[in-house]
Amino acid sequence: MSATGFARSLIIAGAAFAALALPCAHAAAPTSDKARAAAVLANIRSAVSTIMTAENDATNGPARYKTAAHRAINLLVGNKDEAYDAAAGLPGDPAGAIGEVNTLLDRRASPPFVPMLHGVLVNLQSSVASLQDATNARGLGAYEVDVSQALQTLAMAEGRPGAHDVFGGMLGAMANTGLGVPSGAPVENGCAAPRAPGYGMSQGWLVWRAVKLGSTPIATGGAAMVRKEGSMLVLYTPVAAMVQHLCAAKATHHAASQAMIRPAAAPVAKAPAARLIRVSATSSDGAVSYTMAQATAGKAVYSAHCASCHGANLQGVAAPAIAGKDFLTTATKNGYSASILNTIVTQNMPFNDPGSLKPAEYADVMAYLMASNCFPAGKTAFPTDPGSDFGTVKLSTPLHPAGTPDKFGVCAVK
Amino acid sequence: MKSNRIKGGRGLVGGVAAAALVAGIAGVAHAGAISNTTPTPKDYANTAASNSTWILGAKNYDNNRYVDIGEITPDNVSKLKPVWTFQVSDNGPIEAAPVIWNGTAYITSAHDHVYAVDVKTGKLKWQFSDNPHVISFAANRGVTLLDGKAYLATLDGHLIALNATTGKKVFDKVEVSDTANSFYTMQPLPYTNPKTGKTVLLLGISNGDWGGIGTIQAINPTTGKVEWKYETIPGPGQKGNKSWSGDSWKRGGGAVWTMMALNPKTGMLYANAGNPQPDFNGPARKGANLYSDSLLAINISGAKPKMVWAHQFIPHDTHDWDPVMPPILFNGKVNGQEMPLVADGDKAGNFWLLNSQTGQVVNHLAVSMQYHLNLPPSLKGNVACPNTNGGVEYNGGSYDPKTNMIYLPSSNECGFWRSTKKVVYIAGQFYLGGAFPKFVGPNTGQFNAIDVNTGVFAWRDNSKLPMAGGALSTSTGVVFTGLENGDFNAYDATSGKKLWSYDTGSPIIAPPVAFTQGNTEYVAVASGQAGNQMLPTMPKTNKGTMLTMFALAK
Repeated sequence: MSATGFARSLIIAGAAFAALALPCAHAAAPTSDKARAAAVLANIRSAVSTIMTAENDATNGPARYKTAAHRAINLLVGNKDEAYDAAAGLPGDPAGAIGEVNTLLDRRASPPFVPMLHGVLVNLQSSVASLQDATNARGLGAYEVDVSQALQTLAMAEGRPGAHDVFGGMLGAMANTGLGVPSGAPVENGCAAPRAPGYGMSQGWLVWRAVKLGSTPIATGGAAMVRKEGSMLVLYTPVAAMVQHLCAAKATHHAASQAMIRPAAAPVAKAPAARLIRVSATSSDGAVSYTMAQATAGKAVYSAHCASCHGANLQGVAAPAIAGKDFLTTATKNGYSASILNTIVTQNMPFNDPGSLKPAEYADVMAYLMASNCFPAGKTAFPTDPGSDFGTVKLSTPLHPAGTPDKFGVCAVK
Repeated sequence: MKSNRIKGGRGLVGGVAAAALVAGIAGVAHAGAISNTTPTPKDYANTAASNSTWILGAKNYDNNRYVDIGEITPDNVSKLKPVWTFQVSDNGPIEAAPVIWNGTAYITSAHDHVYAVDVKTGKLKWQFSDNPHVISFAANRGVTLLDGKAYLATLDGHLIALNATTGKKVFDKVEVSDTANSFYTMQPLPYTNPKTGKTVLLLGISNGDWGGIGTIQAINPTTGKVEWKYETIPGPGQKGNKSWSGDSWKRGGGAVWTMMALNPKTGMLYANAGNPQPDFNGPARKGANLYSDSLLAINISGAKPKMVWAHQFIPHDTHDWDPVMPPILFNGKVNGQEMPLVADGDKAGNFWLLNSQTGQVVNHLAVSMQYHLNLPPSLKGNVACPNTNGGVEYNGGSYDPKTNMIYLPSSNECGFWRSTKKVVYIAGQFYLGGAFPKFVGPNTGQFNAIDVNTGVFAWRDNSKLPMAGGALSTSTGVVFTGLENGDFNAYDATSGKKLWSYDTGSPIIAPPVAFTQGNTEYVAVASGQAGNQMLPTMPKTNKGTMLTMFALAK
């Protein structure tokens, strides 16, 4: 695409890509995948609005709040679950959001929406747990804490159309996969350029939606890029670049003759290059920070609590290697970030006594692992309570190791 | 079965002749083609009758760890002395018995190293050092000798075939579909179908706490091709699928990772399916979660495996209390009546006796301290016993047909368990929905002798540390087991009197073996690091990882 072409295209984020037909209350059980997805979203949004309505209501007793929490739970779990509270009534469909997600997932095949829906499921289950805490909360303050947690996870379950991984949630799934295609709508090959109005699909992904110009108003929300192509407006989904990349690779591999959506000169999104763990003074933007003093302290903690299984040289005895080439190869393959590593260490380790170290000791051990993996130290300490932005950059072998790696690829910490 | 107690052992000629006599044409073909380098299918079928070999992890397809010997008796066992020790260079725990064949002991270590050692001298003949990527606990439970090769199933999902004489690699193939969460620890179990004469290697995949579902594979030993696979967790439309909420079955666990028992004549396979997952978060997988924590009897003699019966020991387990003991097949007397039986044990500290034909429970006995068995882990945490390493562990025990007793080590450990609100699958990591428990209170063990006839203990011997060293019983009435303080003990099978003890200097979590070679009867056991049995109360000194070979002082 030329520079002017890029300028002409609109970059839009925000609301859902597909126009959403929300089912009304007490709707009959949906039958198609698309209808189920819409029902999940409707149930989530109803749960949020149920809670918010109670929040915005002037009241002088806990009953109304707690009823709202119960109603929200009902919307999420449906009327078959033991968490269902008959007294609060069933405002949504009988299966509830979780039931619908389960039905969408319960198949041997793994369509591309599966990771997104797993994210939805986890967040919905977590929301229910928080809402159950809220119904048992003593005092408004405790209720607010629990409900805030629930709203946070509900927002993650609702998701965002721009993401097509576990963080995409329902909106991501509906914007980027077949779940966003209305039943009966014309479906075309998503690897090819649009020729007629309809939906371009490839391997379960939704690549584009082509709409005839000058008809009705067109909802473009959720599209990553909108372009006028001939007499049509083409809305490219956030996943389009990645899928076209796959199309191109497949076409090269099989020497397919079908027309590609773009000529070879067109900018195809590159696979994201492995990024270094960057040291940041503020530890925002997904970067990781730790100090060498922490790493040194962490070495002693490691010797006392970790070395017996993971080895003095961090290459593993009964447990796996946790530094150097062997570890970083797997970490790259499995997409580990420092944040994921921190979760594993703080939640599951030491194996025989998880959670037994002090928060500062865990941070020191994390710093020791970062240093042993040759990531450079900085001035800001590894936090004892990392926020959601901390350490989301994926781990990979440092191109410029801080220190001299030994034969295992481990940097010594003094 | 005729006794194989030939003084002087089964040399090359004896082995071929015996195989030819009983095996017929197929046996001759095998024995003739590759001499006596590795056992033939007939040798595998006759493991119970041979006292000069130890080619299956728990001695034979019945897993009884019972050996017919004559020299070592309760009267002279105190004269056992180490003949040699072989120091294992690989740094890690050994959970396996050595494989003994034709004068060679094949020792496998934690990181899939194989050491072929001369039985008489302890000298290394060859060594193969694999370097697998380790997902979790490093363990290997033995090689399988067949067709001139030693088959090794590795921690990164490979099946490697080595030349059994030289240790050189013949082939190396990835056999698992998801290398992020699947690995092998099992000794491949050879099965020759008597109807077709075709041999496959049966392997269960260890993926039960890492987000996989239980799978048994049948692999062609020549090509490495997976002939069939059997999943322990039913998918949509299959019987038992409704015992899982939503699609929780997809990462439901039920891994088959410990030794299976087999009746080679009928093709009935007895496999333990492990715990459901996420291990500690029950609400994420409501229902009974079939066939996790179950013993499955599967007929594998047809083109496709078919379940005959299944018994679930713990419906909806929330403590990682799976049955891991190698199931023991035997015919024994219960209340004076002879019955076809299968013995099993789980990490909740239960010993089970089932009818091996119907799966019905014949006896159930608690062999470890149990507390709060039905209390699921909570967000704030609570105490339940045993701990996840407690109860009956992966080496199980031994059945002695003479005493009609099961000899079974077990552990008393308590844990403080916590679950989490969120549970997310991360490739290559535990899929727990909580944390492995913290230890609470003392950790001890005992060696149990269970009288099958009465269903209760004949005797017990207490230990200050947990016990996971399996057991060995002999026709002369001696029972052996290894302790986690490094002691290797011999007991009188009937009275439980301790007859002999030898300090190997390192914790023992591997089962002992006994066999005859030449004019000598040998007993061997591996010791080394304690692995995931590690406790702060263990001896501080460790003499390293080794195999010690014992014989009577002459």
